This record gives sequence, structure tokens and C-alpha cells, in this order.
Amino acid sequence: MHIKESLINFLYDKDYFINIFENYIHVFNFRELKSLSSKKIILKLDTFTLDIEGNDLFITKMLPNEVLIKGSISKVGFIYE
Amino acid sequence: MNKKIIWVKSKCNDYYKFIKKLQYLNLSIMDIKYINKIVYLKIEEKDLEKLEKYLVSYKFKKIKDLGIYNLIDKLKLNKIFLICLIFGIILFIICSNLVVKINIIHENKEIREIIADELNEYGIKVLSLKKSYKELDKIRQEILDKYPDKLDWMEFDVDGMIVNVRVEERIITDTTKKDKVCDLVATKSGIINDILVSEGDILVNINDYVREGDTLVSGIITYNEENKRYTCANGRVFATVWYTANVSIPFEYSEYIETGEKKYNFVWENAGNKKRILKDRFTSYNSSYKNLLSIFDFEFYVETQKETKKIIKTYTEEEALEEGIKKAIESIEVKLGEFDEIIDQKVLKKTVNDSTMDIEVFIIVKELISTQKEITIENIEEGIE
Repeated sequence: MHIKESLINFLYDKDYFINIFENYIHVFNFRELKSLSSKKIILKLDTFTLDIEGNDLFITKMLPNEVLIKGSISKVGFIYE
Repeated sequence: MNKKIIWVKSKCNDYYKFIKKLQYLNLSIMDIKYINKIVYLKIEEKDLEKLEKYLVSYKFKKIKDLGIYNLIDKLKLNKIFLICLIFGIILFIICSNLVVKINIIHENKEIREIIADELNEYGIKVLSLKKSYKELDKIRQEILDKYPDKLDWMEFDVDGMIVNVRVEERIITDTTKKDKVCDLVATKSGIINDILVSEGDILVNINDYVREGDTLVSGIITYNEENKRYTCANGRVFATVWYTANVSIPFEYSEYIETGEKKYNFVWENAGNKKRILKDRFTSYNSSYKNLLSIFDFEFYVETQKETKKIIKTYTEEEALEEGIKKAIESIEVKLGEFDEIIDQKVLKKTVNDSTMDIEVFIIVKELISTQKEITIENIEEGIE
């Protein structure tokens, strides 16, 4: 079972990850961009919603399942529904 | 598979609104820039169609290709320049590797000809490609090995498009020459006229009649009827020799004279071969050349052709006789050496025909008749016994 799960995880990369740098935040495996403004970006992931707050927020890279946000990030919040 | 990545731009007043719309298209946007109300997107080329189809309120314009396609586009744009550049480089490489002149540096014509023939055989000629140092060295060694008795040393000096070949001739000193014993013998029958001997024992006197093969000067020096010393007889013995020449002279003869008509032609010359550019318009003419251009081994001339005309003339009997004697002397002079001279001539017989005159001329010549003939030691000893 453990092997099967590892294989599925490898082939269907469903796990999300969030990398936070000084002026960037990189989110992998997001589902939807719910809200977008220069001060706040809300991203929906599988089990929660990611709330990013800051100034001059700007999307510099956007692939179907990942996004790179640039700007001065002041707060990152996880909202579980 | 190599994806074609491009940059597109579009006017956009509200960046956030634009991005919201963009996310529903599920595109891969590798980079986004927003400068002065213009959004720049780095996307795959296939996604541009999608953008234009679904975001109709925005006008997208492709601004540049990236990667290999960008390079291909730039190459296409500058293709004429690139073709010229490549052609120029090829031409430069060919020209810088071309031989336009070969100088064989040696005073002996025979050696120069040998080297020229050999170089030609090895493919080193005018307008051929230069050989590498290694190949030249191999050719040099092979030529030296082929002519061990004629060539002592040789080297190639490639100076740009000119190949200089420096050669040293091998001069073999015949060390055995001094040990040689020889006589001076007569090559022809005649009456001895003059004797000039530096070495040897003279066996004949002036006004002696000698036959072909007679010994004139001996290499065996005797004293009191004993062989004292052996040497190689050296000197010159001249004799009066007679020749008879039969000549037939036609009374009519032809001569070419210039008519005064003149035409010009252009001629180019390479390696001694002249080629005319225009067609000849005279059947017979005399030519003179004026050099216009000289580049390496190529010469360009203007040729002045002066038309000539054949005229038939007739000799008188005295003129024909004079001409006949002249021709007879010329025919004998061909056979004579540099020390020989004609002493006298006399017409023995003269026959006048309708159109020709046949004469027989007796010619007296002072001629070098001596030549060295080697004699071996055994022969000498046998002779003594």
C-alpha cells in the first residue's frame, strides 16, 4: 500500500507547497484564483484558502497549477472552511 | 519537443482584471510584466490563438520569438548579409590557401626544370591549393630521395600566396678522375694542324696524316723506353678535315613583306602560355606586344599585328650560286664544335636545271679531332709485355 501511494503521489503530484521568499511567494497546486488586487490575493487550494496580503502584489508567472506572486508581502493566512 | 516561446503585448488599463480573465483560460504564462499600461506575456505560441479568441477586448501583438526561433528569425532577416559574409569567408579562405606563384630559386635551368616537373607531379602548381607543412616536408624528402646525385638540399618557404623553393645542387667531385689513365685519340681522319697539350706524351707532329682511332697523345710518359708515369692525357689537337656538301637551290623563292595594315588584339599569358582574346583577322602577320597589366604570374598584353604578304622572287645564276654556297656552309657549320672553323670552300660541280641549280661544294675545316680514351691498367701492362 505504501508503494502504491508513493507511486500515485509521484505520478499525480497532488501535494501543494508554498514557498515564501523576501519579495516573492510561490504556490504550487492551487485550484483557483479567487480574488486579485494590489493589496490582497486569495488563492483556493484543495483543503483551504490562502490569503496573501501586502503592497504592490503582482503576478509574474501563472501556470495552470502554480503561481508566482511578487510584491512586499506582509501577511499570509490559511483559512479552513 | 521544443516549444516555441514568444513574447506578446497588449494594451491593458486594469492589470488585475486582465489577470482574472486570464486564469480561466488555463494558460502557461512563464513571465508577466506590466509597464506603462501595457502588459507583456511570455507564452507558448500556440496559446496566442486562445488569447485572441477568448480575450477579444484586448489586441495582442507578437513582439519577439525566443530561443532557437528568435535566432532563426534573426538569421532570416539578415540572410543576404549572412550569405555574403559566408561567401566572403569561403573566398578569403580559398584565396589565402591558393598558390599564385611558384619561385624555384636556383641558377641552373636544368635543376629548375626538374623541380618544376616534380612539383607539378605532386600537385603544387599555380592556382592550386597550398599543401600543409607536413605534406610539403614529405614531398621535399621524396624529391631529394629521387635525385640523390643532383639535389643536395631543398626547402619550401611559403610566403602568403607565393611558394619559394630553395634548392642546392649536389656537385659530386670525381675523386677517381686523377687516378684515370687515358690517351688522346683521333675522332676523324685528317692532317694535323695545331697541337695544344697540357698533359701527356705527344706522338704526332703538325702536317702528319692521321686516321680515325690513331693515338695522338699518350697517357703513358716514357723515358729511355721505360714507362715512368701514367697520366690522363689532356689537350686539344686540331686537324684539317674535308667535307663535301651537295645543295640544290630553286631559282624561285618566297619572301614575306609587311603590307602596312595593322590590327590590335588582347592577349593574356599564364605560365608562358599566350591566349588571344579576339579572333585573328589576318592570315599571316608579325606580332609585337605591349604589357598592360601584370599580376603575379598573369600578364595582360595588347598585341599589334602587322599584316604580311608572300612575294615570289627569282634568283639570278650568280645569286643562286652564292645562296647555294651559303647553305652548304650552314649545313657543315651545324656539325662543327665551338673551336672548329671553316678555312676554305670551293665549288666542285655546278649543274643548272630549268628551275633549280645543283652544286657540290668542297669545304675545308680546321676541326678539333682529339678525344680522351681511358685505358685500363691491365691493358697497359699487357702492352708493356
